[in-house]
Amino acid sequence: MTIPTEPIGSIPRPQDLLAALVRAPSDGPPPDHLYDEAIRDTIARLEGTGSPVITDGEQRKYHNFWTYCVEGLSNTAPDGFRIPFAAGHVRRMPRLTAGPFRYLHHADEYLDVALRYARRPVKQAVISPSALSLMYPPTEIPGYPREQFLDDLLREHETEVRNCLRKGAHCVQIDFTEGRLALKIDPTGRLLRSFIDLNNLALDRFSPDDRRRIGVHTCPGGDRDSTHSADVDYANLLPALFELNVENFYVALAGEPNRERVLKIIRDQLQPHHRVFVGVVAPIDPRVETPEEVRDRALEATRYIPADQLGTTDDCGFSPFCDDTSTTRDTAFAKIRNRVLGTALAAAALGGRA
Amino acid sequence: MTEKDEERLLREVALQNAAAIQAVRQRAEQELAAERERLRITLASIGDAVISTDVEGRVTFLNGVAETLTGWPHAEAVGRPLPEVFRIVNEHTRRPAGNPALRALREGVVVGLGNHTVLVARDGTERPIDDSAAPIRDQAGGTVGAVLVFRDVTDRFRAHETQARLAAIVNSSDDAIVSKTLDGTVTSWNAGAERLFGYTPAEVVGRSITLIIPPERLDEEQTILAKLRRGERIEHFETVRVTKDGRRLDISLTISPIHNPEGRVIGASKIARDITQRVRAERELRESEERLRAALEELRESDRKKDDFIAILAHELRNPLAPVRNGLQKMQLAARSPELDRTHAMMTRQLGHMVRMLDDLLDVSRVGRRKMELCRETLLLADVVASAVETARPAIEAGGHELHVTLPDGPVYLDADLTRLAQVFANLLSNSAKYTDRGGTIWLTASREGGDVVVSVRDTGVGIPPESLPRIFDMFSQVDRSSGRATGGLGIGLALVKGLTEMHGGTVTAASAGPGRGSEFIVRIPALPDTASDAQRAAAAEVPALRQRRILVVDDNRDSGESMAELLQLLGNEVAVAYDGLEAVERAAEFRPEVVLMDVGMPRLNGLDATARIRAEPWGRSMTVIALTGFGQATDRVHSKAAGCDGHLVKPVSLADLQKLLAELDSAKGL
Repeated sequence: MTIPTEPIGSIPRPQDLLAALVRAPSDGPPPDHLYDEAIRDTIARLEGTGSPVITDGEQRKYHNFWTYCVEGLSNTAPDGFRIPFAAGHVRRMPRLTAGPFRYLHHADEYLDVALRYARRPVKQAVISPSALSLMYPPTEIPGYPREQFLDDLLREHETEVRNCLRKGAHCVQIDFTEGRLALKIDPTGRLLRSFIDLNNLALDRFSPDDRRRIGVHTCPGGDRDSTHSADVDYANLLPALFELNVENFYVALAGEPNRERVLKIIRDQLQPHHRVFVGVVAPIDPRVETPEEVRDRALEATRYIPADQLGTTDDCGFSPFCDDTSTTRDTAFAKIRNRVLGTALAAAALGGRA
Repeated sequence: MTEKDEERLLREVALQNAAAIQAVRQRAEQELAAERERLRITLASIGDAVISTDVEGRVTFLNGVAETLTGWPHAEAVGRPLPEVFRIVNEHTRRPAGNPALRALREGVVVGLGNHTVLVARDGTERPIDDSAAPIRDQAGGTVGAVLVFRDVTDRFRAHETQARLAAIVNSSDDAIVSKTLDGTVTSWNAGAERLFGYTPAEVVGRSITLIIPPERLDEEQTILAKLRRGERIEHFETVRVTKDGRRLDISLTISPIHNPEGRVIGASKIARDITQRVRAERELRESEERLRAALEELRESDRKKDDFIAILAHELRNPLAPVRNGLQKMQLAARSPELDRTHAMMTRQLGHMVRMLDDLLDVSRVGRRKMELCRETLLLADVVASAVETARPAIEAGGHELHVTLPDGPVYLDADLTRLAQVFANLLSNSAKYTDRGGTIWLTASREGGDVVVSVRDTGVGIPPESLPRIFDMFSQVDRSSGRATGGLGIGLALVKGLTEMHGGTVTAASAGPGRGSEFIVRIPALPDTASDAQRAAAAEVPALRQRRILVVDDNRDSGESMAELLQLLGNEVAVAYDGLEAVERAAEFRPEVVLMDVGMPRLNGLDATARIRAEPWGRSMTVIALTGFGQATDRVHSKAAGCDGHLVKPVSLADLQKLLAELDSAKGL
């Protein structure tokens, strides 16, 4: 018996890089060697946790998992929507000011670097089209209709995912944290429905084989040990989530107050070709889960999810925003190590190994 | 902006996005539907039959061609297992053939056609098909179904069968069948060619056809290729080719251009047949024919020489008879003792007999050489028969036979030569008299039969053996010579009868019940209609009384000339004689005769030249010059007339003929 286990993505940046990022507004972007060193070290330490699949810790994603691809675009303004977090802080999105919409950075650029250092399979996280769709302002941009923007957005997203797959990503994870947020903004579910539709328009462009290497991650947000939509009931989100045309789902679970309820919902929505990676460690929780806790959470999940459709993961990235210093790198790696160990214990308990 | 305002605005944007996403999605779905429709139309429009299945092998789609070929409408076929809709069997074994689509599903590979596959349609109709199948893969490469493409290859199948039959014919043909390119390179070589020329296909294909062409005939190939390039066909071209072992064969070539589908000549097929045996046989036949022709020509030449000889013989024998006749006629006028009368009668009879034999001989020769001409006139059959009876009477009376003559009631008119037709009946009567024992009976019976008159000469004579009947009319044919019957004659009488009868447009047949039972000869000749004009019914003119004239007789045969002169003198004429052409001209100048009887063939100056000279003189222009010769054909008459002669008589000349001619000339000149 094997239970796969994967990280979600981000790892807190090293101190040198963080310092350079703080100075960036005055001194300019951090030098490449700092990024490279951060990536190399992150990969080495992730591999040191025994994780069978690693990431580059999203060391180079600036400024965060959401806006990395559009940071620096000349046709954007910084006064986009604010995303309020439970801790009281907000994150502000860029606003598109003119067409056409193009990515400035594609995530496969980061994959290129990671693959140079990695000895284990590397997964790559990308932002969902639905998240970026919020960049288009309330009033229509003259000469650039909303539909044209969505066409451009889908094309850019497809290009990014395809490049990652082509370059050898173990899998591509689409970050869909706005799913739960959508329900918070629009409790009628209409907005979530449109997000699902938009993302499926993108996913439909891929073959089933491609889609076996594509997953969707959902969580209530995780920034500075705080969430933006943990108060939204999973019961309203998960049925729509499982309509996404992918095979892998990365679902934050460790931080949920009633995991069994969520697992039951997952069980009800699960299709035979699905694999669900449940969160067994919570990045926003400063405490490092023990391997036994992880094992138990995994075994708990197997009561609702067939073991051969189960995987484990982190509830969220450890540092989705580059300037988040709420969690240390050591804590993150410790949590990851115990996730790996705990998952292995669960597999052993089930008669196999992770 | 408050947090609440911000959230409201965000919701608004999100919902606007939702509307736009819905529009994009609808457009995408429309495009997908349009793409599917285009695909459906493409598949429906495609000339081949197409069936697709799901991964379980159940039909999901079939286009119109597939509907037609399988007999299954789309609506009924969808969802059914493929083998139910697409039922195929092996053409020869009749066992179900492996379904290519199911194999494509099973093995995930493209499956080509199986040979000899027959599609059995829903109604049992069978068609040979060409099929192939491929798995349908999704974008991940997984098999999600299969697509089967097939087509009705009945036409190709038949064409293949035809081609196979043709190939079998070519291979089994005894003729050499070869194909070549337009530069003469051999491209195929059948077993017949191998047998004929000795080369195997491996030895010839790819080489030039000149391999089998003799060096001296190499130009032929260029001529042949030039014609082929123009698209012309060459039929039965007979030539010579060389075998592998150097033998030369006479062959007949038929060469046809080979066109490609665009109609361009790209090569030629040639059929070569060995005609060595035929050529040899033809050569031998040709040589045989030439020999035969030469022999025939030799025979004809010999026959011509014979006829010429007979003609000359008869002519030369007649010349001496002329003075004899003159002498007898003179004696008749002079001598009057009983003894002399008997002798005279005997000599006259024998002379007549000899003259008739010579006449017959000469006539039959003329008939044979087609030189006989008839002097046709309107005659009464009765006159012809009377003349014949008169001629034959001596022989009939000599045999003591009884002659019965029966003629039709009323006159029967003929367009005939009196002399020649009377000769026919006289010969038959004489023949009966000759071949009938003494005291026999001879019947001459004439009757009308339609437009013909039929004259039968029947006797109680010795008859004719059946085996002799077919040759009875051949020249020199005589019946019963071996019996020693002393009938005499030359055996030409019946041949002459036949020739003269046919010249009159009639026929003659012979019949006999056999030896000792008599014979019958039946002559059938056309008669004139009864409505013939009076002019046509004119009988022979009366011989007018001979008036006295000054006559110059010219003949190099002194006896002939002098006897004629004496005869004319006895009739009261004033007569002079000359013995050649020069003398004739001189005597004519002195004697100034009214009539010149001019022999033609004479020494020093012939009669025609002498006539011309006389005519050239003023005193000679009004003279009557009568050519007197042994040659009496039309050409002779033309020659004599051209020389200036007024008339033409054939020796020996009877006094009556001479009197008649002179009377006619007098009449013509108004005398």
